[in-house]
Amino acid sequence: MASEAPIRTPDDEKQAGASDVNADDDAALMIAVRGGDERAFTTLVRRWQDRIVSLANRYLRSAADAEDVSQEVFLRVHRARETYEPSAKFSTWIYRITVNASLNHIRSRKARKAVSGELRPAGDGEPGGLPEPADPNEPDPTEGPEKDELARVIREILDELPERQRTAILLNKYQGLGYEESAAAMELSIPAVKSLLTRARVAIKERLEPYLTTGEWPRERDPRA
Amino acid sequence: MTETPPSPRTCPGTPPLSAEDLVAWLDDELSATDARRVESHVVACPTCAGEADLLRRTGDLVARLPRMTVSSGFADRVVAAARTAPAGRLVTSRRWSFVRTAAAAAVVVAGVGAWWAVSRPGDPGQLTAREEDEIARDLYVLAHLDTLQSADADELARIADDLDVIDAVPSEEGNGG
Ligand SMILES: [Zn+2]
Repeated sequence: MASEAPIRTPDDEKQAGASDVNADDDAALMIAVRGGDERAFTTLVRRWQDRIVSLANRYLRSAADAEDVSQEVFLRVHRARETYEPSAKFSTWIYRITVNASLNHIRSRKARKAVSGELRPAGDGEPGGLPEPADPNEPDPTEGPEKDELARVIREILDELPERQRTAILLNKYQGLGYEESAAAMELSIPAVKSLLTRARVAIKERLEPYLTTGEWPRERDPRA
Repeated sequence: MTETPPSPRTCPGTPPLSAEDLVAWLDDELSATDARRVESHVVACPTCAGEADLLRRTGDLVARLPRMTVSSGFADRVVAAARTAPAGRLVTSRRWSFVRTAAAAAVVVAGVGAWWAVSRPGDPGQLTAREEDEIARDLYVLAHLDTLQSADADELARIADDLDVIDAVPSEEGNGG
């Protein structure tokens, strides 16, 4: 399911009229969607799908769940077409929906796990049963074999960050949003985001420092050492 | 998880350089004046120079985390699903919108909240996500009482659907160490 394949196919380009589509045209596409243009919606989905699924997967650590949540995100975008205000930057809007949907999915996953744990014996493979949450020890489906330990460790560190720090650093560094855009997506002030980003960055650096200074993990941190 | 202090390294400068300035400088988010100030500090301060190097590499590593691509046919499935779904009056980012509404109402409830925070057991002063959601939902209902009272069944169903994202589900958040 997950791959590092190129995002666009020639068909996508044709359908999107992509040569004249750039990041500023999302609002224009959204206005077309509002007018009932299904092709515009298809274009919008294809332009954003990999960014959205990647961000969702950072929270969910399950390619299947990330895709489910991404579908939900786009359906929300579609449902909201009639009230979409072009003044709102599309990128911050869709990232906000993605973060909300991902966090909400995690919460309901935890709730389902709690309920199923009470009501059913473990390992019950009953059809229609509830999906298992991602096992933190399972390799990330987006990460190659040993490429690696480092990505796994960073993922763990991100998981342990307070929610808003994690969201801030993912929006800023992983999705490449500037402070202002990250702040808009999180509906926080720029100083608040600056503070979250600093804390997140320092926390991650602290954990990575053994690796950053020596290029190797200390023995106790590597189960295979 | 406990909050990390802004910087574990003590800059010996007077005044010391803040971690926020250092990170914002690395991210190219400072004004020209502030950037020059930080740069000249870093050049002269080995502690901050070392810290800057580690923080820069940390940011690069997060930026280079693997990306995913969706499975084939994803867009077609989404479009097909959207075709059957009616347009709604989606309240996007409800939780954060609610939190904003909550901020306006916070003045009113601050006194009660303070009492509640100290009187409830465990983790005083910090709401769990579930509690936040419940409060946000209640505030939403309060703020939209007129609309809700005059809404017909379809309208109510739509609002209920919109509110599902903050449906109260047990959350383990806020219990972490
Ligand atoms: Zn210094």
